[in-house]
Amino acid sequence: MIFTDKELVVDGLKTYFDTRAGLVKAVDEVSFKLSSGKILGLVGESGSGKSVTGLSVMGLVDPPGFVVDGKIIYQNEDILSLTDKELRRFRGAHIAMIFQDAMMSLNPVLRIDTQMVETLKAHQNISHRAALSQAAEALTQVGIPDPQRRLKSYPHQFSGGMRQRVAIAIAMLNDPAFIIADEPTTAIDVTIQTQILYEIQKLCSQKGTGLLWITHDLTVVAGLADEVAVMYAGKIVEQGSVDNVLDRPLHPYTTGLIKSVPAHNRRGQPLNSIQGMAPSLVDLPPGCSFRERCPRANGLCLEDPMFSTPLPEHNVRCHHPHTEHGGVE
Amino acid sequence: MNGKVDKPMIELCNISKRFIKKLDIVAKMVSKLGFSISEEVVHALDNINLKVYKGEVVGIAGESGCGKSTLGRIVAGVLEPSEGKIFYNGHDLKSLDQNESKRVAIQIQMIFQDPFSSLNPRMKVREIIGEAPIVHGIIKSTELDQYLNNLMPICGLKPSYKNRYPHQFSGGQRQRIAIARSLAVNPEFIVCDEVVSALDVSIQAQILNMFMEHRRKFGFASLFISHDLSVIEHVSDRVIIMYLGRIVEEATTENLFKRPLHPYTQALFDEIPSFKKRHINFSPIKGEVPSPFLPPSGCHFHPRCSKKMEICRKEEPKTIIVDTDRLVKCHLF
Repeated sequence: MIFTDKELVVDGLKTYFDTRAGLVKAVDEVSFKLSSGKILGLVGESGSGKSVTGLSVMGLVDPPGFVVDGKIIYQNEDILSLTDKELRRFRGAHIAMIFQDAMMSLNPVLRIDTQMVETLKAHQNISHRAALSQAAEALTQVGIPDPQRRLKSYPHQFSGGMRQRVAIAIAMLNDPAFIIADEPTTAIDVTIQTQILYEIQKLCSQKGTGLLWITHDLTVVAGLADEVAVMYAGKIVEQGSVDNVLDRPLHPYTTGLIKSVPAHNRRGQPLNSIQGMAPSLVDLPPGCSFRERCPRANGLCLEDPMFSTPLPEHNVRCHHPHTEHGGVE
Repeated sequence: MNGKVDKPMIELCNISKRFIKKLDIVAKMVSKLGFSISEEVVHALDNINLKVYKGEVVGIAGESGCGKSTLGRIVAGVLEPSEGKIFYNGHDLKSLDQNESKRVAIQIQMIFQDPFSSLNPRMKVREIIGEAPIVHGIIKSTELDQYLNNLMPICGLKPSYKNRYPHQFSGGQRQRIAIARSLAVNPEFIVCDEVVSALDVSIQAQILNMFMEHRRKFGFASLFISHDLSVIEHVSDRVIIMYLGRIVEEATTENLFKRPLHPYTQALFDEIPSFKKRHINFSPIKGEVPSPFLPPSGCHFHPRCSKKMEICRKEEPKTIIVDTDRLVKCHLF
């Protein structure tokens, strides 16, 4: 397949929430790059800021949240400088988003065809009939049988997996260059998850769509993504190719995450869990926010670690990265 | 396991559970007029036989709607089976008098998936954990503080938390409270229904470690229900795979994960994501779990099965014993 290479560059993104309890730095200096046809996995636990990162790129952060700094460059244009009207035209056409719960993102009182035609007409000058046939085609592409009949259905008439396919079909309608997927398979059974991953993978490789896959599940990222970024307390703490990060994790948090997942050959043995829990992001003290839970922490960690590149194309934000070990056993 | 000589602690014999959607008033009137409208029936469980021995952890896996939670609830006594018998240490639960069945009831505890809805928001932690042991006369109410001071630390909770309310805790800590509540009555058997599904990976590991440590320490048996096969493999001694209300395969964890026999189990295992599987081309099982209102004829799995034969559509396969200790419900065997 031939497609023009595009890039979406997020540089030094900061999204803060000014709450009554204090300032919450939900996204703090996050930088990454998406390229056509590539999949970046953004991994983190609840409250790490991964979803807010996705929403910030889409310009969907509501007050009290504000993007306070950073750039999001798409085709030499900073998305953050767009007016609301320009942004509305841009969203959905160039970058689309898939949410975790398709029941929440689809309108329950409108039929699927209405919602799909609306999406097409918002960005293209297209007749109703042409829009309908394009919608039916989109449903076929995501593996929904009998699309003509299914177009007449309401969201509640679909199963969870089918609804998520509809959400994917809607996201793909205007052939966006990039898709941001926020935990789209989290509440879904493993067999249906594989079906969704299959459809997403097929669409990305056929159409050259670049994908940001936001998830808490490192094992899915292992199978799907080309690159991975690990988030903790609003910051990306490690970034690199999937093979580098999973085989030779540098950050103690990444190591802990990998060891927390039950592995095939360690049945019944205690898991190497990470002690404690993630800190509250309200008025987070300076320094490495992982230090309270980190086995390697010392006085140095009271200072914010900078991004370093101890291994080629493998970045980490840590004073004591695991550069010495030969991998996670 | 199956070859064991001792009596099972819990034995389910031919348990079936049907949920019936009653006719509404309009449908009732219409049917009185002579039109045939039948009630909708879901066969949540269909002829389940299961034994759990003392100290054993039996994992139950399957997709949503396969009946695994219904099975857990029936064992825990939350639901009544429509048909079949449950034996506890050889006694038919139906034949027990009120006092005896109360005694059995506290021996079987249950921990639920969602720690946000399973804890009463108006009760303090001390009441949540302390209510059952006091009511059942395990401790006197004056001994409660001492009891909590011993119990809470082993569940990873500071005893000073006992006057707090559930909303003051995170999801992981709430699940610890739920575990402490179940352990407070020294149960012999704990039904764990998706206890780690709602938790983050790092917290999930902490809870699994605690579960396995307590199991060694207290020696309770457990029915561990989860859709996450790697979690099931990690904690269970024996595993049961369910599909649309039926047990399709049962084996020791080691045998099952080394060599799954049923085509459904094989397909499920192929789809477990893992760190080892990199940059894969996903190849899914076709189709979805059919509606339990209208299960397919014969073997429920046949519309999705890659090895289906003519007979699969017509006849329900029998449960067959393979290699002396495993059961599989498939026409291939």
